[in-house]
Amino acid sequence: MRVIQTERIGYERKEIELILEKMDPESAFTVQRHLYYPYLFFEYMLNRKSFFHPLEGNIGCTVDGVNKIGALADTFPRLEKKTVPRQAVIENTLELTDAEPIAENFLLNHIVNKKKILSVPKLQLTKQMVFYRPYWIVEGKSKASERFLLMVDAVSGKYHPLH
Amino acid sequence: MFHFPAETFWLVVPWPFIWLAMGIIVYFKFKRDDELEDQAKKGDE
Amino acid sequence: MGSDVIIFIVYLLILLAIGVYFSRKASKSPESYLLADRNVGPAVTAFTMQSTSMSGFMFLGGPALAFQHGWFSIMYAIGDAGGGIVNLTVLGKRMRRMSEILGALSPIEYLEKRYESAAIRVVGAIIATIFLFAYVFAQFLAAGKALETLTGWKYEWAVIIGVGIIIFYTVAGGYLAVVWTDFFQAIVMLLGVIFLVFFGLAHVGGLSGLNESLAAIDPSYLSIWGKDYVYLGQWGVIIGASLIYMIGYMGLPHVVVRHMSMKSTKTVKTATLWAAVYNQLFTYSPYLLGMIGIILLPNLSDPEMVIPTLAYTLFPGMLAAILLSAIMAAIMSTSDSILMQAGTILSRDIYQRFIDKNASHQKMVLVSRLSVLLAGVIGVLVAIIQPPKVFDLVVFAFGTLGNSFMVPYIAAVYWKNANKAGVLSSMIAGGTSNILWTSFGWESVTGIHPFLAGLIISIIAMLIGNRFGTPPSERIQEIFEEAKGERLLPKNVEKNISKDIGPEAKVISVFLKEGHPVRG
Repeated sequence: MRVIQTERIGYERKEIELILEKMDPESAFTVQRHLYYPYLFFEYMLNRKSFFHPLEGNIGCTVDGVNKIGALADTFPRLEKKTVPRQAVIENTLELTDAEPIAENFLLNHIVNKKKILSVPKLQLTKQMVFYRPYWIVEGKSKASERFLLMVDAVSGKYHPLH
Repeated sequence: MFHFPAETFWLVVPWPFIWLAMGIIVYFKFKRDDELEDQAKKGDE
Repeated sequence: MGSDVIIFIVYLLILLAIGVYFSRKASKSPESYLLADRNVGPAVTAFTMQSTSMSGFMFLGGPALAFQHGWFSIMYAIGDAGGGIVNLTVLGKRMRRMSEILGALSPIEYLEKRYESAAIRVVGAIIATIFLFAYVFAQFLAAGKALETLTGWKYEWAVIIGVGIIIFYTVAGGYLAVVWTDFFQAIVMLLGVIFLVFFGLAHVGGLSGLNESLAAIDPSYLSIWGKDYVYLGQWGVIIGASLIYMIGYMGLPHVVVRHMSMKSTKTVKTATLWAAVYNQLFTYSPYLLGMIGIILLPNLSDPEMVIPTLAYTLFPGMLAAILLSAIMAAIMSTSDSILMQAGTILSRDIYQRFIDKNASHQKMVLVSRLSVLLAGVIGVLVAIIQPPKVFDLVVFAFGTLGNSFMVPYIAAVYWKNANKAGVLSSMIAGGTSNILWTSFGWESVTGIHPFLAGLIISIIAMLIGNRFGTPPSERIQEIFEEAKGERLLPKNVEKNISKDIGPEAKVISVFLKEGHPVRG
């Protein structure tokens, strides 16, 4: 067992099964287990005073602790301390100091691409931390009796198939 | 027709109709693809 | 024409207002803006896609060719009218799946990852930047001419000021390129052109009248072999001319990138249908206008001025000025996005990767800005010292890009064993043939269009070169199969997958299989 900072679960086991079954009534879904996936979170303050492209407020970025890829964080993660079995945790392989430039670059690229501005807004780091996001591993069985595995983000309900 | 020489007429005029037809065919093909995938799943039972 | 300048400025201000309004509205919270899915319907999507391709070529280049050659020019329009559908049908879903699995962000990076070769990225990036800039130069020429007509300034000044506006606008930020300004633009231009064709045809007595009058001037205008039958019997030219836009789109990095960012297949299918309809309405019109110009404007000295001159002949001055302003704005918005693309490729795929690996973001931005600026200066010089024809330049740039990239993009998803040796040879041989064919005028000697020549040679080079390379790795072969086939998931489940957690899924798959933590 070990203690980690995890994001609070948004969808419980049963809820996930129900949602998936509602989406595809032809198949049966069972949650097999859950896993914790490492992320590094960075929050920045954005303050760009411009008539045409004002950008103000806080903006968060998570960096995948294994793949080292940045992503936009929709909201500030709601965290809690939890004791979890060791084999349910995917090891973080990234230091905060190494991840910070990834996050900053990701955000700047994203802002510049989205807004098509060629000047760089200033980002001021306000928070940083490592946390683990829970994922449900769900087994699906379609009526054609084909088996497939999904991983479901227990916080947002987003999912992706596993191969 | 339209005072075209025959050669020009047959090389030019059909194209808009060919593309329109192709647009419609592609639309239904994509649509069928989605539906077929679904049915294949059900049909296996 | 002082009042026309005012109309142009007012038009730009209206566009700016629309752009700023939506941009500020969306900026209230950065997250919502940056995360926002631009949820516009398929009709609007197809419409705006149309407006971004309605550029200098359509309004100045195409009509000029029609003015010079008559119905032969329609061969280019035929291809163009179907290019979008062909592109989507051939590359569509497969390319989307493949790029999703590879996790590629840019079209050049996609090639690098699929063929597992950094050399492809270098060569690809170099070809792409040079010819994207060449493509923009054509827009610069067009911008100069449109502004010349609008303001009555001397051509040189019109070019300098026109390009100046474009560069300033690109570096400062593309406010006009918001979906809604594109939509507004598309409506103005589509209406403008449709009315022009309508009035123009009415003047010459409909299509039959047009052909009758053309035949009276010179019967060869009615043939598909060009004026004075210069291309008589040269099917290599005719086929090349219709193929270039029919299949060439599949080799344009800034076009195929759309396949990579496609969201739902549902939007795509409906958008294709809409595009098929719009294209039939729109692609042929500029060429028809060129031919109407032969009759109505017998004394026109510069063929590229057909549409601007017709607009002032058939419309009241103010409407003509509005149409020209819209054309000018379309040129700006096209140039802007291509300049940005080229600048990004240059800074990311060449500068950051090979010159300065640890370049900061600021430095990268500086590099792309400088390259955009440099392109502007060179563009102005070219446009003033020895201006090529808009049409020729576009066909050259478009053709070379198509010849370099089309075979690699298609082979990526249709030929499992396509490898880096084949693709490198195909890119280099295809691009080079087009350049040689165009610069030495081999078209008239061989009777084969440069695009067709490049296409044939790039295919041969791919087939031969591929024998010398090692087959793709097992991982790529697996990915190929996966991109080809249907997933084993029920449709409803498949539909709602969140692609953004794909990388995590890969890690978790390995973790579950091997049962121990994975090192990244």
